[in-house]
Amino acid sequence: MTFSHDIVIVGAGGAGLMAALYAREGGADVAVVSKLHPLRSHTGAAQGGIGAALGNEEEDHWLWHAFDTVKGSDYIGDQDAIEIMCQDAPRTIVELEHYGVPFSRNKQGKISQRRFGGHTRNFGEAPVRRACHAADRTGHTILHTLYDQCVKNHVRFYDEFQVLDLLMTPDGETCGVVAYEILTGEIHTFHAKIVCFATGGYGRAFKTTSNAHAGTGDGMAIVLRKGLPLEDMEFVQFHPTGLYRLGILITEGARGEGGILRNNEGERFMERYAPTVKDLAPRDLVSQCIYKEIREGRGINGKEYVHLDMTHVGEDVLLHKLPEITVFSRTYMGIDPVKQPIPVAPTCHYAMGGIPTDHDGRVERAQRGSTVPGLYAVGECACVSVHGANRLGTNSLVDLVVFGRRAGIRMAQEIQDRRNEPKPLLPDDPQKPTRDLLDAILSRTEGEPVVAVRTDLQQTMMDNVSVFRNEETLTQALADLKALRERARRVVVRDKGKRFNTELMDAVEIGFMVDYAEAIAAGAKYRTESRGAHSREDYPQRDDEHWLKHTLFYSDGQGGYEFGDKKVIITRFQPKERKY
Amino acid sequence: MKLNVKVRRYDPESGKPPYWATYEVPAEPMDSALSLLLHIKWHLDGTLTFRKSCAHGICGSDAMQINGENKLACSVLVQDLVKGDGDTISFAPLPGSPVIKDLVIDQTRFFEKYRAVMPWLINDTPPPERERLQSPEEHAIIEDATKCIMCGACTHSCPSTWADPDYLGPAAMLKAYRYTFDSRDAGSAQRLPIVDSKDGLWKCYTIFNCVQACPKEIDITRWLSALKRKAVTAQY
Amino acid sequence: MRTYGTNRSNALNWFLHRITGTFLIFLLITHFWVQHYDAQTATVVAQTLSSEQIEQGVLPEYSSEARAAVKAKFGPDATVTPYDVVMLRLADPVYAVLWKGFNILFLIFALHHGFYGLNNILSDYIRNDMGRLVARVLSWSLALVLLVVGLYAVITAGWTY
Repeated sequence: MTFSHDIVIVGAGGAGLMAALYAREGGADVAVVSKLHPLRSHTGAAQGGIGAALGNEEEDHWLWHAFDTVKGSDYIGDQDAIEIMCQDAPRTIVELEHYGVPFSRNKQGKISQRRFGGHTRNFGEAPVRRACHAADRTGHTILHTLYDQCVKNHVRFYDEFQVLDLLMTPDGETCGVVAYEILTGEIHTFHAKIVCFATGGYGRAFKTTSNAHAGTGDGMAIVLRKGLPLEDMEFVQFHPTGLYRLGILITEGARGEGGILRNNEGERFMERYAPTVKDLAPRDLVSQCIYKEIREGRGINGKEYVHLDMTHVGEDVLLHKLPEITVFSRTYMGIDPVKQPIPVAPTCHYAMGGIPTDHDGRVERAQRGSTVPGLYAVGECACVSVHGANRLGTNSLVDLVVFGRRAGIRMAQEIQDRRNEPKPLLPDDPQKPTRDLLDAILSRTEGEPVVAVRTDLQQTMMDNVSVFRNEETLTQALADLKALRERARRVVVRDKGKRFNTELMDAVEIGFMVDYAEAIAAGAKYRTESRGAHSREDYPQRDDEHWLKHTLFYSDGQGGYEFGDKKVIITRFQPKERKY
Repeated sequence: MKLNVKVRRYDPESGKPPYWATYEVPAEPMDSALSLLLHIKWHLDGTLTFRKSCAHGICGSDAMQINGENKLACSVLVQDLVKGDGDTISFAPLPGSPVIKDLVIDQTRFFEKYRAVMPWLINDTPPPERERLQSPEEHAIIEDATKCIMCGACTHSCPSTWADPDYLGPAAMLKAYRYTFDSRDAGSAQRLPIVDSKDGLWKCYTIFNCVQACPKEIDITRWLSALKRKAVTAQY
Repeated sequence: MRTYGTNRSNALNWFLHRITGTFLIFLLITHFWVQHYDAQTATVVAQTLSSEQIEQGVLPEYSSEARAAVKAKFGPDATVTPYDVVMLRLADPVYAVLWKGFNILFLIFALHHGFYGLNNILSDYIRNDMGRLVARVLSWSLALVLLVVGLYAVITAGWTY
C-alpha cells in the first residue's frame, strides 16, 4: 500500500514526537512511523533530568550552561548550536510544562532543579542546580505527555511499522520511506515531501548497555546506505553507573543527590581525579576513572565494578527523589540502597555522533549548507553537534526537545512554502530493494542464527571499542567487523511467517548494526588523539592542532569507506585544558 | 538450575489451535523472566514471539501472564517465581484482548479507551510567560498516577473488563484521574462525563486486581475512588 | 472506533448505592435487635424449640413482660404467638408510625441497593444495548412490584388488631 502525507517522521521517541507536535501545530499533515508503540520508546528511560538555566533554585544563566556544554564536549561541540540549545532550553521546558509535563516542584511551586554531572555555576566554579526533573522519571513523563498532545492534535500514528529504506529521487530529493508492517508482514510505501529520522541510538551494538533492545540505530544505517555521511561516530558515551553486569542505568541524579563512588578500599576516588566537582565530573571522565580503578586492582572483590554509596543520603531522599533506582537495585541486584552500596560499572549509553544536521534538523551531505532536500534528522540519531566528544547529563533530553521543536517548526514552514508543489515522484517499484532483502532472508534455509552474529558483534565492540581504545584493539575490531558483515548477510531465520515476525526484523537489524559499528570503529581508529569519551591509550593527549574538527564517515556498504572533515565552530570559548 | 518453561503458543497463520509448549531453559535465580523468553527465542525456537524493549520496567512492552499473574517479564526474577531446579514457570498472553501471536496481544481497544478519556491537559487560559505554578502538595496528588507506563497489566487483570469489553478499565481511567486532578487542568467538565458513564467509573467494583497487577505499584483503586467522588460532587 | 462514555451519568445511582449500603448496616442491626432481642417490646424468644415440639404445636416461651402485654390486649386466655407479638407492636398507636416508617425505609433502601447491584451484574453479562435495556426495564419493574407488595404489607399490618 502507499500512504501519502506531507511529513513522515520515523521514530516516536521524544525528538520524533516533539517534531511531530510542532509540525502539526504548524498546520502540516504529519505521520509518525515507529517500530514500537510510541510509549515504548527509549526516551521513557531517561531518568535524572533535563537541564535548563531557569534559575528556580539559585542564580543561573544560559551562558554558563553553554560553557559547561562546550567544556563537556571537550571543545568539539559546535558553539553556535550549543548557544542556540542553551538559550532555547528554558523556553522549551516552560512550553513542555504548559503541555502538562508533571515536573517535580520546589516550595515556591516552580519546577524543581537539582545538581548534575558537569553543570556548574559561573564557568566552572561549583555545581549548580540546573536539572529540571520529575523524580527520576523525567523522560517517562515527557514522553507520555508528548504522546498525549500528539493524540490530541491528531498526528497520524503508524505503530509497529519498521522503516527499512529511504526513498530519494535521482536528483537526490527525499520522497518517502518504505516500511514493513510487523503485524501483517506487508511492505508499505510512505510518500512524503519531508522525511525526518528520529530513530535514536545504537547502544545495542555493545554487550553492556543501558539501551533498549530496540536501540539498534536503524536510521543511521539507512541514511549511511544512501551515501550520506555519519558524523563523529567515534564518540560513544559510557555512563559510569550502570548496574553491574546488567547495564541498567542508575541516574547521575543519584550522585546529584549526594551519592559517592567508592573503590574496594572504601576510598572516594573521584576526589583524586576531579578535586572541584568530585563525583559530579562529566561521564567520560568518571567512566575512565572507574576503569582505571578496576585496572589497578581496586575494583570491589577484584571484580569489574565499584560501589555507588547512597547509604548516607537517607531513606527519604531515595524513596521520594530516586524511587525508580531504589526499586531497580532491589529488584535486579537484591540490595537495598538505603543500607548497602550499589555495584556499578560503566555501560554503553549514548551516541554523540550521528546523522549530520544544521540547527533546524536539516541533514547535510558534506560541508555546512549542503542540505539534502526534504531530509531531516533529530534526537540521538542526529549530530548537530551539541555534544561533541562527550554529552553532559540532562543534555540529551534538552537536545531532543529543543531541536525536535526547531525541526518541527521548520518542517511546517517548509510544507507551507512548498504547498503548491506536488510531492517529488516516487521511483519505479520503490519497494523492490526491501522486498528482495526480506525475500532473501526468508528463503534462506542454511546459515547461522542472528544471535550468533549479534553476540560476536557486541563482544568485539565491547572488548575493542569501549572506554579505552588503541590501534591494536581497533584494528582487531575492524577485522572482526569485516567477517561479521559477511556473516550478517547469511543469517537464517526459523520464523517464515508473515504475522508479527520479529525474528525477521532482528535479521535486518543485524545488517544495520554492522554498518554503523564499522563507522564507530573506523572513526575511532582514524582519530589519533584522546578527546572526551574517545580515549586512545596510544594517543593519550588531546591534539587541537590536528583534530579540532569533526569527522564525516562515508561508506560504500561493502566495507569500503572514506572520511571527510568538517570545521568546528567556535564563538566564545577558546579551547583550553579540561579540568574539573 | 534448569527450569521447565511453559509458553502458551498460538499462531493464527498456522491454522492450529493454541497449545502449551514446554522448553527446558538454564537459569540463574537473579535472571529476569524476560531472559528466559529471550533464551528460548535466541537459542531454542526463533518463532516464539513476544514484545520487549527497555528490559527494565519502564517501556511497558512485556506485560504478560506469568504463573497466572499479570506481570512485566523484565521486572520479575526467577527466584521470585520458582523454588528450585526442575520447577515450572508458565507464560501466557494478557487475558482479555485478542491474541495476535504467542504472547503478543492486540492492544487496539486498550489504546482506543485511553484516547477516549481526553488524556491531555485542558486549559484554555493563555499560559503565563514562565511555568504554571503548582505546589509540591498539589503535585503529590497526581505523582503516583504519573508513574503509569500503560503496559496494560491492570486493565487485563480486571474482571469488570473481562466481563464487559466496553468498560474503560483502570489504565484509561487512571489517565483521566492524572489530568483531572492536575491543579493546572480545567477540563473536568469535558472529561468527567466520559468516565461518569455506563462504560466508566461505576463498573469499578473495587476488586483491587489492578492494584495487585500494577508493576509500578500504583494505588489505582484509590485514585479511581477519588475520581468517583469528584464525579459525584461535580453533579450534586 | 467505538465511542466510549456517551451514556448519561450514573453518578447518582452509584452514590445512592454507597448511602443505602451504609444505612443498611444500621437498619439491619436495628431490625435484628428489635425483632429478636428487645426486652422492652417483649419479643425475646428465650427458648429454642425442637422439631418435635414444633410438630406438637408448642409455642416459644416469652418473657413475662411480653406475655403480660399480649394478655392485656387480647384478654387473659389469649395464646402468645410470635405473630401476635409482632402485630402487637405494629398496632401500637405510638410505636406503629415509627416502626412502619422504619420498615418502609428499610424496604426502599434494600430494594435500591439490591437491584442496582443486580443491574451491574446483568450488564456485565449482557453485551448488546437492547438486551441491557430489556434487563434493566424488567429488573426495575420487578423492584417496583416488590415495593408495592412490601408497602402494602407494612402499611396494613396490625390494622385488624
